[in-house]
Amino acid sequence: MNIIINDTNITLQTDDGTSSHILLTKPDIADYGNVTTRPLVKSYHLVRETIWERFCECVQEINEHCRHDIHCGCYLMTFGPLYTALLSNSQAKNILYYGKKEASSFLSSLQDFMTFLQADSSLVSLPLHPLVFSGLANGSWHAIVMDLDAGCNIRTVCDAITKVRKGGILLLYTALDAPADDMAGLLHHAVKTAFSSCTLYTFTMEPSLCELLYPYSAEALVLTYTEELLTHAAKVNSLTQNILQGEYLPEDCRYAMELLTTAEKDLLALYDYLEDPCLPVYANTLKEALMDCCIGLSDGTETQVYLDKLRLAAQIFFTAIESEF
Amino acid sequence: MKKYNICVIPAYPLENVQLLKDRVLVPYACYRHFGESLTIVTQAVEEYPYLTYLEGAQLHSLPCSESLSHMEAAIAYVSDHYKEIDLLCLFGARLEYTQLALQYKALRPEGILYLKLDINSGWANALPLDHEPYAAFLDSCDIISCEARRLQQLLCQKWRKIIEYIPNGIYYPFYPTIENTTYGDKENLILTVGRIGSVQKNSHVLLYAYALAYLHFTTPWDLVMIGSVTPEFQEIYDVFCREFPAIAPHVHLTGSITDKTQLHTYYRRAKIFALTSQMEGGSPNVYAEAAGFGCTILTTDIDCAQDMTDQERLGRIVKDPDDIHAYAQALSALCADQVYLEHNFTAVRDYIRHYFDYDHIARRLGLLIEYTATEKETL
Repeated sequence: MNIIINDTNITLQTDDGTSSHILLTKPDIADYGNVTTRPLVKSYHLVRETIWERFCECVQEINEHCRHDIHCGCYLMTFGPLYTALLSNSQAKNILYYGKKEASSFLSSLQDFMTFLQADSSLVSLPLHPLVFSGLANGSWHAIVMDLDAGCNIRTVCDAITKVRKGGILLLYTALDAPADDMAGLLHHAVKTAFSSCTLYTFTMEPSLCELLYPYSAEALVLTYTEELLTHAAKVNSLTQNILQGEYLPEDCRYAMELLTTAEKDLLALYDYLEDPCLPVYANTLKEALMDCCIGLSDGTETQVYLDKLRLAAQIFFTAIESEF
Repeated sequence: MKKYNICVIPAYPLENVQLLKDRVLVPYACYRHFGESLTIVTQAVEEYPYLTYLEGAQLHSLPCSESLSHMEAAIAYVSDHYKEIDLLCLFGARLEYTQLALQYKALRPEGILYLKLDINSGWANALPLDHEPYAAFLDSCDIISCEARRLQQLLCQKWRKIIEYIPNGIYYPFYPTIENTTYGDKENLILTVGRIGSVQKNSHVLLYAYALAYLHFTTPWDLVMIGSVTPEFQEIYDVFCREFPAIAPHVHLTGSITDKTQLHTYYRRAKIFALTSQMEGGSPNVYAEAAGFGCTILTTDIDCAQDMTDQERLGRIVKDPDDIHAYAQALSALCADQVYLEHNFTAVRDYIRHYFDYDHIARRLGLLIEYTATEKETL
């Protein structure tokens, strides 16, 4: 990939020269070379370097260091919208990155440019874990950059979007031919920019987008699961009490077992959010106690020991559920 | 409940003694409850006299050769016989199973794949969960069980999968003398059974802890160690006999006992069953046998120690497997407490009868299998 820089534009061009893409047009700002009186600008005046020059340098650095990375074009393309976001006002900016460690040169150049603009700006690279966004405060980041090829699922992306502040941007890039099927509906709401094998999706955070995506977020997932879980737990409690009071029906036992299996799956899906990591096992132990009862009661022999175990397992599970939710 | 054609395929060629251990006994108990047939598929590496215990079970000998390994032949068997396998039982969280499991699920998606883990926490931490074929293997299993509650919690946390607790138990019909065993049959005997001297069994700890405890005995107690003896342990034992000539006559190394009646006689006579293991794959098969005969358990803190002693209600746990003094202290305290041992005789037997009876466990597995099959039908 080649980069062509002139006084007004930065253009990307494929090696064979058959395709090109304008990465950025120099903003039309009066006295651009002295665009701001921010402290950082003082330093660039000292080294006699304008923002535009520094930006061009960073872009060239990325192209040089990431030349063999299939995402090189993607990194460069993110710089366009980031440039605008970073210069939107004189405040310090915070940006999150979620992607592979191969992007370190890109991150280093981006960090350099951010610091050049405003020394207090921060760039945070997150570890690749689908739930990593869930611990962050909502609406608090100016921009988030995500590598769609790093195994992002729709929930992670929706979680990320909820963390972007109003007017901020979420940038998703990919070097693959097509995004995962479940992403298609979501990406429909983004501005798509494609060049060569690289595609960039840009979301600008606004309330309507947040409303649209919230149902897919981890927070919504937790609430949905919690609601279902509590309904199931109440039914299991009732069935368990029936058995303990001598009203045993094999089909009740099987139904409770089914509900508890679903509860176990729900609890495992929520595992990272649980205060009590033993909850799924408590559900399993209660299911086991129910099965023991089911067997013991159908034999009609020595049932008391199984009923005692059921009472204890139920007490542990429901106490834990109550304390958790 | 539907009758299942059950197939057991070990990861490695089966030995005769393993026919009467959990890897075969769990499927066998299932077969007795809801099985149409039970086929044990293995490369035959020796004679299998214990097969006579497993009435109705078939052993299919794999045609292995230098160019066809046990697992390759097993995969070929599954390809040829998948229609006759409704329930496939695998044993051990082994990478070797990857292709076999995926092959079975590809050919019989509605079939049930049950994996009994036979695992300990050290092994669980070393499994290659990021290795895609291995992860696919675990995903392909419909029911996964482990043998200790401590492990169940660990695996649930690491794997985010439903892990059932299926302990290693006892198949009562093979223990005709258990029922009429009384505390009156018991003698002041401390018993251990296993590969004496293996690193895992940590047998020297028991030997020297016994010597230390011996000094505190108010009545004589003997130590019986049953099982094949490693040359290294034989040396330790010879030195021990020279060091403690007064105690040595009370320590008996019987060697391996294959005659079940004779082995059961030892269980019947022993008051205390001692385990000094560093670790165990799952839970030791000998535990449920000993406890079934009413032996009080003294064990090191292996993964299943809490389950074996029902949180130390029915036995004692020594935290550090290498702490000979602590083990000796616990041993002499137990030997001195005849009231506890007598009371425990009934309590531990009841506990085993209720929770470690393979008959009961198989019925529980039956419920799980029935539920899984119904769930698959509705998908």
